[in-house]
Amino acid sequence: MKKSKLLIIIPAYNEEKSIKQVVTQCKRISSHVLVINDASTDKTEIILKKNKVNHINLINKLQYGAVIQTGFKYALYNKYDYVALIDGDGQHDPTYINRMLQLVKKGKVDLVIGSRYKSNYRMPFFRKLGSFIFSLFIRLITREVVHDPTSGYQVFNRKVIEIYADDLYPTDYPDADVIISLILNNCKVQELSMNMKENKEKSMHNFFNSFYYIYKMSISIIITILRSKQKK
Amino acid sequence: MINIKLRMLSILVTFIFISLIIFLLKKGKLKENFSLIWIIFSFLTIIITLNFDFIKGVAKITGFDDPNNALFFFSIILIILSILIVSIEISDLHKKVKNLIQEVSILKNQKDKKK
Repeated sequence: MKKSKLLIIIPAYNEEKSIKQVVTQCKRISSHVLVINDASTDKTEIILKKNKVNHINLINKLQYGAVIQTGFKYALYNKYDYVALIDGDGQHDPTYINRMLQLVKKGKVDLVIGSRYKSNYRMPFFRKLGSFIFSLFIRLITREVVHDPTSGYQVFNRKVIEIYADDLYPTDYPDADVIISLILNNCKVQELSMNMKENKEKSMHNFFNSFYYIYKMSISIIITILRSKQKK
Repeated sequence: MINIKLRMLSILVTFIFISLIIFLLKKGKLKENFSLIWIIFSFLTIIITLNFDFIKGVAKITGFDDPNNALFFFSIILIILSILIVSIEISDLHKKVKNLIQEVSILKNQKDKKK
């Protein structure tokens, strides 16, 4: 039997301090590690080259969703069976990947989300509120419980890779809408709660204007539902 | 009825506008498909200038007391529509550029690996 391949995708934007350590830790789990360098302006690229890490240098800076989608497309083209997505800033502990992968390999779930909600990670108030509202949305629409749909720590199988590589995948900040569309596409989603280091540096989500965030999420959730109805 | 001076002015402005469109098309600064909506605008302006009864009729059917209001109303709707078309085009371009950046970057990665 062919051994199933796992690709670890690490999006990185100006992560010169942490990227080497994250990659080293990930290499212990899988020999297939892919760093996506989102046109960093610091030494990230030099560090990756020096350490001979497999990496993609984006020729222009993209939004977060489009950055990680590059990795999903790469996984699709190179026929990987499983993908682990983990942040490049070191806030996620790579040792959880094996446990998450086992859950997916058993075949009962398609996507495992590393959730920080249940741990002592302190989110900014507005993120917490947003997270709560959209978990509620997911619960109402799909009757599944997902506390932390924004988490950038995920492990999933080929079925999910194909959906993520599609043009309809949001290019800015994938959130509850993605999870809802997965569940509506008959994918099983499970959360795994874990400890995460507090990220002292600016999180990608802080760019969000709070009102725009609420608006954008509401509209994309509505559209996601309309799309899935159309398919049926 | 609009007076003759105003008519002349309106037709003059419209012709300058049409020449501008043709000039931009010739220079390749405007794509042909975008020019359509501007040419339609220009011809509508000429029709209304030459035949103001047309807009009076439209106002009567749609229930406007003042034909001028009808004129403004429909002009604004046309302008909003044209902005929407441009937004659609930008979204499409955005998607294409994103796909291009992704594919080129993946190809570059594969080229470097072969070295």
